[in-house]
Parts: sequence; structure tokens; C-alpha cells
Amino acid sequence: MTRIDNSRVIRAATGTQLTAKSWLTEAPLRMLMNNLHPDVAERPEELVVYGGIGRAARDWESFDKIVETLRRLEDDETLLVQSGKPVGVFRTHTDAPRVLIANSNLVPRWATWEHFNELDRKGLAMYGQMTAGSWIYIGAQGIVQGTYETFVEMGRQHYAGDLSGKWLLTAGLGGMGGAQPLAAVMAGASCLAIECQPSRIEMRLRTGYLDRCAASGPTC
Amino acid sequence: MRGIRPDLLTDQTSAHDPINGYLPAGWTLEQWATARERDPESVNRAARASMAVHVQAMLDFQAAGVPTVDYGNNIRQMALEEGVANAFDFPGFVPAYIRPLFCRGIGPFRWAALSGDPEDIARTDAKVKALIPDNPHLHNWLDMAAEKIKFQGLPARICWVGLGDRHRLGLAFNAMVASGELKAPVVIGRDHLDSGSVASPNRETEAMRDGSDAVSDWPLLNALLNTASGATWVSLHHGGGVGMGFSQHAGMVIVADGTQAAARRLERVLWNDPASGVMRHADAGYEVAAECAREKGLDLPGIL
Repeated sequence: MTRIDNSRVIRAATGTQLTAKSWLTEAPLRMLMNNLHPDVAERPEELVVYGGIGRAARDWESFDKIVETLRRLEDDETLLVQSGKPVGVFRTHTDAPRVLIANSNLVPRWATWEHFNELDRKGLAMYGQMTAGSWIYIGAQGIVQGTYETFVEMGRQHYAGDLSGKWLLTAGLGGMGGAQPLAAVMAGASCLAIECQPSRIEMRLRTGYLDRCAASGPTC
Repeated sequence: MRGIRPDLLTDQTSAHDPINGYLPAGWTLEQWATARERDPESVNRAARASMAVHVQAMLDFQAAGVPTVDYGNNIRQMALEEGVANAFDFPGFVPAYIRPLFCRGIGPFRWAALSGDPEDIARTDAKVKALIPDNPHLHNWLDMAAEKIKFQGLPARICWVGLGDRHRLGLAFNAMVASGELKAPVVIGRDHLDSGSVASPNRETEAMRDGSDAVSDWPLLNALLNTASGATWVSLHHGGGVGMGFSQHAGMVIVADGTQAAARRLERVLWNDPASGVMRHADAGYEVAAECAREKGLDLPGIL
């Protein structure tokens, strides 16, 4: 089980040249790879897309096997993915899903971080977060509008719809939280966000979601 | 920093994952990295203790009149378990601000251009405006998004639309692929954080009117329905957002490849998926959802 491979740089194919047998299998292939694009994923070398340890595939062997299987999958077959590992291809029909995915599911009494982490260490599980393991994470924009809608509604309820001259205090600039500074500005407010990981701050500066960074409270 | 007073307060650290997602107060990054490898339980304890202090500070700001909201990372639950008895005094963002949208099946609809060409997204943006002409809030979002959001990876767009609009947009995008107006097919999906696709009592289904916060039949039915309707890939997850034991949720993605077969699937999936959210909220007793269901002609035998 290879969880970290610093030599891997994954980018989805673009254009109209298919590498799978149809667009219905090319699409999940490109979206799996897009989840691991260096500008999309938080720690692509570890297959981590966002949200702590939300992964796109269980390990690099599983990733390679999913890619290989999607490339050969027929239009009446369905690939089953179990916590980030491709486990079966079954004959279904053309209107059926091409991929069915179950990630991180545990019987309720065992559904704790302690038990999950034990399984995860043994290579028996993967944390799929929401759109990491289901291959439809599109970067922080995916959360910007939800966050924008929330901040606008906060402004409407508490400041008569006008957030000019107001500021938001928050923390966390990861895959989810990184949307906050831009959403706040779009909603008309300013934002001060606290973040401990320099790489996350740099990523948000690079993608234009953040204007500037300060090393301590007084300087900001 | 003493004496400062924000106008709004929230938090989006990865508090749902106390070992990997929250730097304990006073620790260096190096100390944290080492301890996560060698003694994860020490990180767990220290992070949870810090979260209790963090939530207490949020409660103090709230008591001082600062609008304070939980942004769905389960930090209130962690603080509660650490002895902050009134951790849930500030509300979650869903019941406070998002649920009225969910009642009409409105949620995080999104699509990505498989061509990799930003021009395809510009064309779909224009199509959304043309098909939904009477929503200035949506138009404002699309304009600002086009101006301020840099694409990461494949060009993509998100906009919150609901039952009655999603399938119209899907069919229109499919027609644009068929006519060659778009250079390649698009995928259409959504977050699992949506109207009918999640059970998460500390976030999306916090404080449901009928107390059905923890009932997870709904996301299971949503996944089964999307599978039966012909989505291109369907997923069923546990623990997203708020961590293990606290949520179950389903995802859906469908490809618009320009074919007639895709059009039939798009029409079914992009109607049924948000309709299942209207169903879930109508069952919980939200009048807005029941009205929406009647207006859209949903057949909900045990509910309406």
C-alpha cells in the first residue's frame, strides 16, 4: 500500500481525444484525476483532496487500478469502488451508472474515528469526505457560493443587508475554509482568517482568494 | 489583539478530525507532525482541549452581541464532549441560513467542462442567465464568479438552483454539446451537502422541525433513486464534513454527452434528485417544502 508518492503529478486530460471507451467512462476518469490536480488537491502526493484526510483513492495502487479499469470499461458495465479501491466490474445496462461508490461506511456501533483509523492504518478503509472520494470536488469555488449565500443572509438578518465596513473573524483556510475570504468580500465585508499551515495560505494567495498574509495578530 | 470586536464570527478549521485537522494551542507545526506519527492520542487530547477554549471564546463573543455561527465542522460537539455544556448555544449555518433554500430543492448544483476550455463555462454561464432571467441575485453571482474566481483544474461553475431549474439547465447543456456550441461534454453534479442527500444532525439536518435529524433513510433513498434514474456515478459515504459517526450522505454526477439517451437520463436525474430533497423537508413538516411539492406536482403519498 503506497499512500505517499512525491513523484506523482496528476492532471486530467483535456480536449476531445478519448482515453476511455466512451464519454461516460472518460468523464469519471477525468474527474478522478482532476480531484488530484496540483491546483485542486491539498496534498495530491498523498491522494488527499481536502478536509483533513479526504482521499480520491485508497492508495496509489488503487488509483492506478481504477484508471486502468475505467479505460477498459464497456458501456453496459458498472465498476464498484469500495472505500477508494476498485473491487468489481459487473454487467448492468447502458442506462445504469458506470461507477457505484461506497466510502467510509461502518456499521453504526463501530462508526468512530478510533475504529476507522485502525482500519485505515491496515489499508482496509479510506476517508472519502464528501466530494473527494466521489470525484466531483472542483476546488474552493465549490464552497464559495454556499459561503457567499450564508454571509449575504447573515448580513440581511443582522445588518439590514449592508456589510460594507463590517468584518468577519474566522479560522481555517483549507479546502472548505479557503473560500471564506473571497466569499466575504463578494458579500461586501472584510475577512480576517487564522491559519497555521503556510502551504494553505500560499495556495489561497496564489489562487486569488486571499489578499495578504500576516505572521502575527498585531501586524494584521 | 485584546479588545477587538468582529462584526461576524465563525470557524472552518478541520475540527471534525481532531488528530489531523486542528493544531493544538501552543504547539509548533513540527511538534504536531511528529506527535501525529508517534502518539496520535496525545494530539487528539490536546486538540479537543483547545477546541473547548475556542468554542468558549466564540460563546463569549456571542454573549457580547456578535452574530456567531457554526460552519459545520463539528467543533461544538467536540467542545460539548470536553465539558462546554452550552456549546450548542450558537446555531449551525444550515438551520439559521440555508434550510429555507433546501425546502425548495435549492442547493450546490455544479458542472465542469471536460474540454478544459474556460470558454465552455462562459457559454454555460450565459445560458443559465438566459434560462433563468428573473433572478438578479443569481446573475450577480455569475458575474462576480466570472470576474473573481480563478479556475482550479478543469474549468467549472457552481450556482445554487433548485427543483424545476436543474433539469432545464442539464438539458440545455446537453443540447449545447450536441450542437457543437460546447467543445466537449460536461459533467453535472453537486456537493453531498444538498437538500435530499445528507443526514448530519450537527450540520445539514440540525434541529429538523420533526426531530428527524439522525434519520439516514433519506440519503440512502437518494442514492438508490439516482442509481435507478441513471446518474453516471453515484456514491454513498459516511463521516463527511463532521467526521465519523456523525453523518451519512450521497453523491451524484451525470454526464451530458449530447446524446438523446443522455437527455432522457438528465431529465430524470436532475428532476428526481432535488425532488427527493423537497420530499424529505415536506415530510419533516416544512410548509415551504409542502407548497413547493404541490406546485411541482410531486406524488408524495404518505406526506401530502
